[in-house]
Amino acid sequence: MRLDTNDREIVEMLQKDATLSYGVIAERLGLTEREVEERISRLSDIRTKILIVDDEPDTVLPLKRALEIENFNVIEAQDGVEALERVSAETPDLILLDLMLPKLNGFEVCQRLKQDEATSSIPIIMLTAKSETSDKIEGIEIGADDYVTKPFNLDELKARIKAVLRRTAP
Amino acid sequence: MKVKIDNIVIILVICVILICVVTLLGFKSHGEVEDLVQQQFNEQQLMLARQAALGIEGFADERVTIIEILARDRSGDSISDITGCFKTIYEETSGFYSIEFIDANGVVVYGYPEHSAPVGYDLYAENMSGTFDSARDKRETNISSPTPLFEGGLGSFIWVPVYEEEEFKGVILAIIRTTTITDRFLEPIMQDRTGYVYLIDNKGKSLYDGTRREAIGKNYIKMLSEDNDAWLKILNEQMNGSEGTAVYFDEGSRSEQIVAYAPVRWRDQLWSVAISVPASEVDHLIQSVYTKQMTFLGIVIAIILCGSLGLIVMFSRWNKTLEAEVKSKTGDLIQSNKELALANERLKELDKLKSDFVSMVSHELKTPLAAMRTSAQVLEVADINTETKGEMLDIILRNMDRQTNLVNDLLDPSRIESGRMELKFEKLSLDSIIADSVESVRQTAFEKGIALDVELPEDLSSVKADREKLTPVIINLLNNAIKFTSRSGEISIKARELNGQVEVRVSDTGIGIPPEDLDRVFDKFYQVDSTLTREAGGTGLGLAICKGIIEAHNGHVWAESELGKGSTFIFTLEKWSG
Repeated sequence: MRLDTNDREIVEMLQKDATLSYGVIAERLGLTEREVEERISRLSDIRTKILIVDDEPDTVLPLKRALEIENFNVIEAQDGVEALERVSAETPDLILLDLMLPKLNGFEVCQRLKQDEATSSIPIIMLTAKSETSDKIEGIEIGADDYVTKPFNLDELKARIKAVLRRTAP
Repeated sequence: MKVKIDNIVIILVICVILICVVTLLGFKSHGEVEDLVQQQFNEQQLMLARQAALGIEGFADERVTIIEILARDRSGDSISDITGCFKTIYEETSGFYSIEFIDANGVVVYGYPEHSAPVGYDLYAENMSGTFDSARDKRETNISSPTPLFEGGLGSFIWVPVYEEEEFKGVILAIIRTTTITDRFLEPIMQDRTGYVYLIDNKGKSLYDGTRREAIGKNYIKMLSEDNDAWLKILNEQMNGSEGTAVYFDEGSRSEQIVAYAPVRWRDQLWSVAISVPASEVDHLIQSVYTKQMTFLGIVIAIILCGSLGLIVMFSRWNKTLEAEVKSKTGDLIQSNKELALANERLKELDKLKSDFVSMVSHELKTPLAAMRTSAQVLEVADINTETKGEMLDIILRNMDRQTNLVNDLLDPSRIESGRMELKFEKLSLDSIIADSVESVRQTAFEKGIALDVELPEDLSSVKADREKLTPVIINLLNNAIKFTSRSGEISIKARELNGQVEVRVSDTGIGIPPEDLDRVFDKFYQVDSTLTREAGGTGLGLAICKGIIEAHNGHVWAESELGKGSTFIFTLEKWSG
């Protein structure tokens, strides 16, 4: 998890004086109390954060539940544009990316993330019903770290997620 | 360019050389032909002359022989026996001018024909007895040179002495007029021909002249101008009794003459027949030969040219026909190539549509499967809470339905196409069907903030339709409208009666359809724009299924649209007729 300036300030303040209230911090940094609360809860969540990008709610929900059982912090996005927004806002530790997405397709999203230095280190597992070899090759060539075809075995996916995280751990 | 000029020069040189060669050959052969014709002509003239000479010889000699036979061995015969034969001889053998008998005293005692016989004429008294005496003394026939007759013209006097034993009885004098001979033998020669014939005796005296009648009886040699050596030479040859051909220049006609001459030997008389023809006659002959040849050549060339021309025209026409045919065939080929290219393009497009469709179908089929599988695996985990369990079961059930619908969608077109769709027609009120359909999409429309407006006339007739098939059609049209209409748009359903049918219109304020795609939206697998439909989802089969169902109801379905403003899908149904 990467921290922005505000995050670092909050961490610094809390390290000096752990009793500071949210209101004081918000006042000092020019943020609302709620924002500070969100940041602190995010900063205090030490679970690995996984972003699932898929336009099918019925695909996302069971996957989310399964990963939550595995104690992952799961966030979601429904299309390519939303995915990029959430990545820059939340800085997930891993992305499960569907290929057939509205607005921006999975390849484009992957390409943009890998071109941007700030996000290029985030591992991406492509998750799609497209099973043709050419699609897999294209996905891996533009930087995807793994490629899983739907319908997948949940255990296998979980194993792959863990493997990718291990591989890319700092 | 240069090559062309070189070619022309070469062709010209070849032409000039060919013309020279042909001309040279022509001159050479002309010379040869001229010599040959000249030679032939001379020989022919000579033959003519000889023939005439022989004719004269034979004729005259025969006459003399007859008289001699009459005169021979007259022993015992009286003079009257001899003279009695005169009439017979005169009449049987034409040619005599007169036959007379002169007695031993030199007096003419009888003659036939009697009117031309000077009976009683005394040779001695007239001092004309020279030849008479000579015939008597030599006891042989004496023929005089043609001499002028009293009656005019020339005549040959034939003196045949008559002896009885040793006793001189007298002389038979037969006169043959020269004209008798020339009319018979020389006159016909020159009929229809140029030139003339003349006959001279051995002194050069003219006995006959085809052109100069006045010269007859005169001596040519004396008439000759001094410088005409060539003719003089000919005349001398003639007087010598030679035969041959020669050329001289005639002052009178101022032309070269070819003379062919042959001797006439009649006892001791030596005459000479000559045929004189202008040298130009030979040229005429050659010319006529050439004319004939040229005519022949001309005709042959004309035939060849005409034939060639005909062939050329025929071939060129043929060629043109062929060209036209080739052109039209090429046109056809180009046309069919174009058609093939179009068909090919269309096939490629169709192929792409199909592969897109397959890829899409596999995606659409796998997505619910993935959801179900994942949900099921989540359910496997023992320590999940009840809420999650419910969620997972919902997902599984929902996706099963979704997949079932999808499979039905996929099967419907093939059912429609194979005609296996069974319709259960009943009397249906559109009110209820439309209300049901609207109800089933209301939630989706509400979520997108889209207003649904239904306008139906109160007295709308019932239609003849299958409720189970018709409802999905309307739902499909409504779903499409919602899919392609942005938030806060409007969708309206209207119906009216038109021409005995009921027309239903589903209009939206969506993105619209490009005019060129209006007809094709009902094609199987067709999706206007892949990016748009990707966003909207769908199999691309919905409208094709709608079309199949409406057409199975004997209705029509079509679309109207303005890009950017919205689309209207219209279908018609038959009214319920009882």
